[in-house]
Amino acid sequence: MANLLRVERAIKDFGGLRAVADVSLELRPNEIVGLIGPNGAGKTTLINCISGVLKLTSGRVWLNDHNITRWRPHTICRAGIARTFQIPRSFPRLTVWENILVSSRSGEDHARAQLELVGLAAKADLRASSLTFHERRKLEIARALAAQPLFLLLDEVMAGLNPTETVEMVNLLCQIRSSLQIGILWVEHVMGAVMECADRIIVLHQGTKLVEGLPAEIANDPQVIEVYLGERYEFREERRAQG
Amino acid sequence: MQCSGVNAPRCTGSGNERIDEVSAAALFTEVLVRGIAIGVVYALMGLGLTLIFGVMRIINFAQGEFYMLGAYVVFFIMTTLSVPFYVALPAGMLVIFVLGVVVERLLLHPIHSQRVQNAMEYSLIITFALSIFFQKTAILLFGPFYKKIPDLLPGNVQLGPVALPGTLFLATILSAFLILAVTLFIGRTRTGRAWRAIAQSLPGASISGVRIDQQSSLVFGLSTALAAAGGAILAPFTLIFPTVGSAPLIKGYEIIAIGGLGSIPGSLVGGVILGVAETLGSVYINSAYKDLYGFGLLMLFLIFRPRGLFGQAS
Repeated sequence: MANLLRVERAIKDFGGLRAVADVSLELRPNEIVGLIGPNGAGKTTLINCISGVLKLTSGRVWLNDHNITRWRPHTICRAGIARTFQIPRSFPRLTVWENILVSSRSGEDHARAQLELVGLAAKADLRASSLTFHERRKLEIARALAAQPLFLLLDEVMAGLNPTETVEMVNLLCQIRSSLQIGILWVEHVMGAVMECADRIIVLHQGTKLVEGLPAEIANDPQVIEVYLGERYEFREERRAQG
Repeated sequence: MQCSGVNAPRCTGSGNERIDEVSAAALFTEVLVRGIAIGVVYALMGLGLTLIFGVMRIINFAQGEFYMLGAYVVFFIMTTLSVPFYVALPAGMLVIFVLGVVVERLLLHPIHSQRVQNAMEYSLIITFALSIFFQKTAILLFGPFYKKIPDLLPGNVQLGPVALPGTLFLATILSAFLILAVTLFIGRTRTGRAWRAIAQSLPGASISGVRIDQQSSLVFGLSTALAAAGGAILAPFTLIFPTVGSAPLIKGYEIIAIGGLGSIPGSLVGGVILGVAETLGSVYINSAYKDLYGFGLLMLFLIFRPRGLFGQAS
């Protein structure tokens, strides 16, 4: 049976504020699902709830047959859902290699392979704090992959990268999907990257799912243009520039 | 050594000046070595506090009571089972380790489940109450009278020109060994790596699959076991009584404030600095104010370098 990550009617309240309001989604292996939407739409909150950093107010998260809604982060990680943070939470005073080893559950060879995959093998013995921002992002991805996840949750991995680095990161994500056959849920603001890379896109707006569809459909959806993308023309310009 | 005593420097000036210079230098060396020796034992106490604060951000106010209980447990193991100190010490550490783990599981567990808003305040209040509880329990169980662990190594040990009391020498060696063992454990093992990861980014460690609650129990247990070792190692000097842990607790916090909160090298250097300051002050100024020199040093640090020697600027 193919693996399946399923979020069922997720609701997350912070006091009186409903950050995520009744969102359902499914993620399968070997697909990249982009999660986009304006600031405050609840994208990161949703990722936090799936990875166990925050607890859902109501609703359920399923990994295959397991209800993981109330599981703690380390259990969720070991069960097969790894994530990155928007601001890298690597361990600055450990070496790059030690960073990977913290999350590694399947031996040093596998860990080293992840380091090579993201292109940091040459910097294995440096402290993580000496890496550039871009490299720290890649380190976070390698660390997430070292846990041998079935699903990977990415939180704005493109933010703050320059165009060259963005292209490199897009290639890396495509490579991860195809070579590791894992499902990726990807929160992103850099539209060009999402449109190019994602198989499906979900648009959140004020905590609810506005639409879900193929990138081309999303790009032309009048509602999405209204609440998030702005005018259609600007978006096409952006896409041409990024692509 | 005829110049040793409270006012040693004033001895110079009478008789042969060259001999006085030599003996003054010898006195200074001896005092320095003794200070360093005591400092290493202090460093052991600092290390225990640093460990639990550095990894879990828990301020353990009951650390002094684990120190006291460690001394009692080792004492009773020695007297009831009539085993030597070297057997009783690890056994006592193990007992306190288990006690520490149980305490962490029972009382500090809410920290890990997001049920507590301010984990640091919570641990502070809980451990403060625990400290009082343990002190009173010790009075009930063991009575208010002094107990003594006999000298570990009677007589002096001659180290080159310097003579150290044998018990102090052995205390230093044991402390240094424990510090080395713990440092290697943290630097070389998978568990140690997980602790360093937690210290540097708790959410990062958590989503990397590190079980925070389990590691916290282990760190707390090891930290209290180190306190117990300190209590037992220093027991031949300080005697054992229910409130014997109060002074070491304060010294421990002086050490980690001087060395830098959460820094392991800081707690080692801080311990040695405190030991040297106390010994120098006692010999050259007045031994009646021994505890004052540490506080003076602490105040200087708080004024001029509040983050300590190795602390991270926040």
